[in-house]
Amino acid sequence: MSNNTNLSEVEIVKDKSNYLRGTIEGSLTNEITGALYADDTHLIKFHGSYQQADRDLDSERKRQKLEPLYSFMIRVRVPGGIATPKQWLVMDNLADQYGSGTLKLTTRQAFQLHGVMKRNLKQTIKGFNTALLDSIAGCGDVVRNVMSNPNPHQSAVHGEVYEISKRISEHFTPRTRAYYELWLNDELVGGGEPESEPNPEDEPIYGKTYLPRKFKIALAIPPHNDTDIFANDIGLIAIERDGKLLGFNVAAGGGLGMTFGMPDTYPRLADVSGFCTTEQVLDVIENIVLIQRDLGNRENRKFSRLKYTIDQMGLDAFKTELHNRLGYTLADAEPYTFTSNGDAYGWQKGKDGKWNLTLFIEGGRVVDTEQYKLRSGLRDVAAFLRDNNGDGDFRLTGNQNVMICNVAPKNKARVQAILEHYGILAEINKTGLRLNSLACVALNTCTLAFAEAERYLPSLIDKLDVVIRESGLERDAIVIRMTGCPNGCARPYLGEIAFVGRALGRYNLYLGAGFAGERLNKLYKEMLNEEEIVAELTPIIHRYAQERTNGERFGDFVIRAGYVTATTHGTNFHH
Amino acid sequence: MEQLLQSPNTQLDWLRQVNETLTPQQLLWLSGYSYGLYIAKNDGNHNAKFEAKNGSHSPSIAAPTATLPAEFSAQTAAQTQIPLTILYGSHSGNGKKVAANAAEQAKNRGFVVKMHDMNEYPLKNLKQEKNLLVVVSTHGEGIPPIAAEDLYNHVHSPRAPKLGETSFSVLALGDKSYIHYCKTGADFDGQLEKLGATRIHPRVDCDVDFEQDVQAWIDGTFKALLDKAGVKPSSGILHTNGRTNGYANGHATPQPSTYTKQHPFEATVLEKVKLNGRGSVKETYHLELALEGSGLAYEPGDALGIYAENSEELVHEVLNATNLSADAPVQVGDSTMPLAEALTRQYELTILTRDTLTKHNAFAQSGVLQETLLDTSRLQSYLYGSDVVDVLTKFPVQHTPETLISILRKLPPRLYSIASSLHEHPDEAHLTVSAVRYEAGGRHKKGVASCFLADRVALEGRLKVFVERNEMFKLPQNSATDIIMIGPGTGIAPFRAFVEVRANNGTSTAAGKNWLFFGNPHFTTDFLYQTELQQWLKKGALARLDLAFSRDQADKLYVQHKLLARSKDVFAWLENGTQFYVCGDKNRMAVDVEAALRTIVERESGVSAERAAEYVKSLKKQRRYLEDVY
Repeated sequence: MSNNTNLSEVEIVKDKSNYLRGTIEGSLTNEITGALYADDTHLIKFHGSYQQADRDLDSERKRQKLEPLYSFMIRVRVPGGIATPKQWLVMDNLADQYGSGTLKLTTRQAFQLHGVMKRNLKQTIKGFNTALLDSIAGCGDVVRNVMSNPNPHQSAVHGEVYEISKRISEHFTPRTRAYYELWLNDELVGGGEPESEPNPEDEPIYGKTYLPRKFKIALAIPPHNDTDIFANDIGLIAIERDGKLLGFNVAAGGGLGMTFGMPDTYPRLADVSGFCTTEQVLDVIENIVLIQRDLGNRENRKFSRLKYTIDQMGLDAFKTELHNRLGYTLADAEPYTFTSNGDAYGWQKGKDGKWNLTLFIEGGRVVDTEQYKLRSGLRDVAAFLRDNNGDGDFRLTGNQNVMICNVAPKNKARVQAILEHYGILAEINKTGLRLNSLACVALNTCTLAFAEAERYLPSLIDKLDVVIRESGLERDAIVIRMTGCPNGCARPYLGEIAFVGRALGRYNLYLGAGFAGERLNKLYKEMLNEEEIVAELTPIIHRYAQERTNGERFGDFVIRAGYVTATTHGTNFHH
Repeated sequence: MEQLLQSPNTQLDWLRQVNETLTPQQLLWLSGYSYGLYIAKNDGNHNAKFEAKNGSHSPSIAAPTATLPAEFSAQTAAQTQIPLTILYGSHSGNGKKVAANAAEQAKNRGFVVKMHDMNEYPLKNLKQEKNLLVVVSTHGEGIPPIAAEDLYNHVHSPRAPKLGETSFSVLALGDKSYIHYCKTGADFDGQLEKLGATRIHPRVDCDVDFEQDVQAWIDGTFKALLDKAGVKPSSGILHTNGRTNGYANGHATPQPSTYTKQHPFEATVLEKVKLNGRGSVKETYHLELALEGSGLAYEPGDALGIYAENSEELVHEVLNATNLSADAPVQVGDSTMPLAEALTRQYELTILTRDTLTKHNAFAQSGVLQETLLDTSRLQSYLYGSDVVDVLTKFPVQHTPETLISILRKLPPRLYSIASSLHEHPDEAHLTVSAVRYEAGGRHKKGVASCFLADRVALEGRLKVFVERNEMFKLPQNSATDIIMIGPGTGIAPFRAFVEVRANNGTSTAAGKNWLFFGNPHFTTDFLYQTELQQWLKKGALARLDLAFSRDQADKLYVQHKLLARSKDVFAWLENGTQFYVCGDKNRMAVDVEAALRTIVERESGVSAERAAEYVKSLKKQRRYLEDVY
């Protein structure tokens, strides 16, 4: 690798960063700007943070002779999405103290704070630490937050699967001390000289240049695919028999990002490549990660994900490489069935007699508005649970929603009352379309966005809801997703209806993904404005209401009705 | 030249002697006069050639025997060799301008003039002075400017000489909005008399609008001095008409503009932008004004005078409080105008002065007001934050339009340090203006000029402006000298001009380094000129930039704290000859910065607090510590 002179800029930055330290400390103490030095903007991602700017204000501030309003997004890892009431309260408080006053629940079961100023980064990350949370590897070219089905009542093996997801997360957490030195004022451990280079053995898996690109892992317990495992580099499908976890089907090579105008880039779902036991699973994952580390493209980051590595070498060659590295062969995949990738709202009683409640959080944004005090309501619930011996916990779902789980029967009424007081439970009465919506952050903070998403989708759904209601489809779940760019944060290519931003107010419309996240959608129309979106979708929704067969999903109907053809593999997504 | 003269040594010596006694104007006149004589002695060919070369010739050439200018006829007074010493002590430079003006006029009238900055005046000379003019300003709470301190203390000390042989007159400069208006001048006036000197002309106290009063004092004083010497004020006594314009343009301006404080230029607003980002409690505007066609020139450190107008609301409030008609005609100077217009453009309404209060009480006859007027501390707190409407409402009087304007102070133009350099922005002047708004006495108050600029001046609008030189706040003569600039808030304005000019010196080792300290409440919204400062840092035009954003952390952080944090380097720079500049808030910031500097000297050189204070004071006296504070 070191002989390769065509390495991408980020590879060079990583290489000379001394295990992710770079000049971040200098960037932080530079008072002249709210931004980091250019190289450090790449490295800070590994510490869980993106440098952003308030794009709404860019031109105004330029005239005011002020630099862009830089701030930082910080993503806090929550393996399996489980947070204690105390952790929820700490995050809530940090959002006020240093952030924009809101919490964003991500599509990958993490918390995001937005609008953190550079000068407050250290204090914020120290704040996470007081609640035993961290943002290590929240972003960057490493194994990201490991997703797992959060719902404890759904399966007896849930606890076991969650433990495995945590173990995977810990196994792949970077070993560098940079995070502790930079953010927690931790001196170099083991008497090491600050000048001396850490032993490469400090990153036995990653090495000093880490992975070519981000690496996502998700676990799911059939029939629920709420973690959208096929969108991940590695998806693990739990296989249970008689309430016992046998192991996992291993799917590899998923990833949704693509670039407009580059047909060589495409979203791709992971291929189920075999079965491994629970004892083998860490070994199998590590070897897939190592294949990607060694063979992944480090010259052009647009082709660096595992999906391209696999398609480049061929799936069979990839399996052979994996088997060679493992020294054994994966068993054939076990049969499984997924029925949905959404969340089931409302109270459900677990096998242990405790109660679990799934709440809809539109756009994953926990915020108080004049009309709707969602954040206050959840804060009150968290405080109540904390004060009751820490009863219950908060679980972030892969659909930007939150569950309040393991509530003792005696506390259920109080939780219910608090949520009713704030009107939060009434949200469950929204249309099936809205309850199955996802939107990425996009404008104004995301530097990649071409168009609005989270700020706009609710009002677009208002308009589509009119059509939905007149068609009598209020109770029907339809997966609808919107992103401000084609990079895929809200997994748009797995939406039965999806909008991907092309320009301000203009979207590509995609149709026909599988309801359980097992099939990608297909481009239907390009560059639509709102009026055109509503005009295009109205007759399709009407026809769906009239012509659907029993239990036929919207995504299947649009293919049968001929609006789009089915995408059977990422490589034919653009056809 | 020597070859041209018949007896070189004698004639040349004679010419040199004559030359020493001539003012520049006299020399100029003589050159024309001599040329006219030359033409008269020769044929017209030379003249034709001369015209062909230059296109024109001056009227004085055509009429070489025309009347001698007044300077020469006044020479008769010089026969009596009246000595005159003019001492000035001022902070802003106005005192120096007034003194220079008086000195020039005095020379023209034949006085033998010596002019001194009080700072550099040998105190032992005082008792020998025959005729002494004192021009002195008053600082803050009635204290002498630092340049006047030694002389002030000397005349008030037991060592003060007897001045029985001395005639004197004092011109006091001040600002009526301060309670201790012209106090230092009054102190000098009283003390010189106590020391036995003869007051030859009554003291004149000048408000910020001082030109006319100064000329009256000059004329009166000179007449008295000539009378005393028995010189008849012949028709040759020159009133240097138009010289008063010099205050606005200054002698250093290469081509004096015809636009002056008395005849301001109407500048077009090219750009107006609020520099504070959204959510800021501050309201600071950056204005760019077109000076094209005005001939106005300025140097970094100079100020732009702005003629502001009172707001319609405030004028209405005055009219309501007095029950007077907006249309009532009033006489202002030579013209008659409606009262509302006079109140809008001619009179100060936002600032209340002791003078106005006194005059008002002549009508109101309020015992309470009288007591307040007699109690300085009560008066001070009453004047602070009160305006004309407050007085008119609280102590009502049936004013006529005439009595109303008779109690009011003329609205002086407001001065703003220019935030640009002509080098970087030819034909433009930029300003950094903070809108002053506050609530007092249950009413919303606004700074007259700042809110005029903030609220009522729009792009492409016009503003009456003039250039006000500030000799006391100039870049070092030597561009290799390092400078430290302390400019929080709008105090950054002149330093933007400084750096713009010094950036062109290049970043070679020969160019002096520039170090700026800036502060304001918040980094995000209040970092004035942030992107420009970033560029200067990148290019090396700024060697260092230290920032103090007071509200971005639990403990308030100000520029003086940043200075202290850089103690070692600041002291090293000072020892290396750095010039130290402070611009901005006078009452707190400038005081705290000076205290911080004393601490730095004490800490870094290990001397006593007293010695450190002397060190800082000597910086001021050497004019290496310069302030433009308000």
